[in-house]
Amino acid sequence: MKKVLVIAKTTLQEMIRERLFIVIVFMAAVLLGISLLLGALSFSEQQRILANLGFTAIEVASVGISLFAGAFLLAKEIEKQTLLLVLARPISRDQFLMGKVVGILALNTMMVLVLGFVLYFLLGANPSFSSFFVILSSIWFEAAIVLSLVIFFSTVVRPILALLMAFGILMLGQWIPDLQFFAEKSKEMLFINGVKIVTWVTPNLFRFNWKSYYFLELGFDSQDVLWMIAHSFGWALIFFVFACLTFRRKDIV
Amino acid sequence: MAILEVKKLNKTFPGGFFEKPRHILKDVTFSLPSGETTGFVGSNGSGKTTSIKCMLDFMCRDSGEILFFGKPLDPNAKRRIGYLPERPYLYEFLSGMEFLRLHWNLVQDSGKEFIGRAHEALKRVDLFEARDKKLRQFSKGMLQRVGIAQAILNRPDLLILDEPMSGLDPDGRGLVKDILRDEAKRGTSLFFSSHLLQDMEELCSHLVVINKGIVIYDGELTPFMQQYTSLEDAFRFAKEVKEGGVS
Repeated sequence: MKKVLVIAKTTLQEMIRERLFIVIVFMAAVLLGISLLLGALSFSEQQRILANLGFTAIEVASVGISLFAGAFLLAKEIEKQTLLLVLARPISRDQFLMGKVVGILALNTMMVLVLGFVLYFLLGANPSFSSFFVILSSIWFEAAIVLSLVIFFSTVVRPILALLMAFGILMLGQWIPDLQFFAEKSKEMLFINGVKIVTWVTPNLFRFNWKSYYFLELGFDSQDVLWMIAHSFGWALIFFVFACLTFRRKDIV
Repeated sequence: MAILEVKKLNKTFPGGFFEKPRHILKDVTFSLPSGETTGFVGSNGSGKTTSIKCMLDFMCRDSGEILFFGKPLDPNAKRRIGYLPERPYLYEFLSGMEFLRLHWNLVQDSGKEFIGRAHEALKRVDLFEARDKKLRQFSKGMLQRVGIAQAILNRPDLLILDEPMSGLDPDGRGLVKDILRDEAKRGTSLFFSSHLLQDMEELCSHLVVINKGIVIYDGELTPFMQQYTSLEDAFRFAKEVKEGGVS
């Protein structure tokens, strides 16, 4: 475990010092500012607009970090061969990959917490804290799934392609209910079966797409929260295991 | 006793759509005597770096056996090995000390002796004054030297260096040679690759010669040299014999 943490710490240092983190947080802060301005346009809907856009800004930043860091950090290590020196040490490739994931997730956690703190106070510290925290957690879990997915793809294909493929799966995961609806309406067996396959191989991200004022007011059922945790953990684990299996056999040329 | 044994190592790279797979290493077999300095010589593209990468499991081998200290490579063996790749691209966002601490933490359980050992290693490569500078501010020679510092930091029993003197100016080359001599005196077994034969003559007692993925000599340097006026001649002759050009 110590070695995983050593790699995680180095990954965290890299992302902070290479300023990727700062750029993405800056973008999220700008989005938060815009949502505050847009909210100010409508007095009655101010809270709603601010919450909806604020959560979206945090999601964009968090998933953005996962996509870009996951796609490029490992690829950069392989391309520049910086990982040769690390892998020559008593550390397995699985531990190295785990360290990368932990480092990126640590950064994501920090960012979600900081931006969440800002948004909470922009909302006047009114919303239920537990509901607010569940929504932030759903964003974090979505980013964790995307990270495992993009790391798996980046062990197989080039980083740009890995990023695009992971983004495609992310979109599919968000559109599952729409796809199911259209498949049923179309009554085309090929379409219906195709959508069934998609639902089996794609994490259902729509089911915990709770980034709106509606859920903040309504609150959450504990079963839904447990489902989110189990579903996210399961998918992230599956993608991470696939990533380890492919990375173990990868030649560092 | 051999500190490293490579037996019948084969490695093939897959070809593209219209290319045949390339058989890079062909039954590569050699061994490193303990406590000696072994040179791994061959022309560019002969398979030196690929051999080293297969030895350290950076590449999967098609077949063959590799034994470090009599056993397959495992974490315990890795603790006893220092390694420097051909082009040491390092984490440029770290300082010299941070870089060494990373490598210390990956090997050692305790941080107790780190400061003393890191300072000692940095002084040996003449980088003590630059220890807190970021690696992105280092010149190529400085990067090579800090790479050597991480390789010797944990006082390894075996040092594997891939072209440690390539691209260095005469001062840098002299410094690296001095470090290698010091390590040899300390009892470290050294294995380093180079296509510069002069380095081998100066530093090695044992020699492994590779050409087009085939080991054409594995033994002591002296008997090899006695037959030839220089290592260049010997190398050329051995290549021709293996390729069937000389009877």
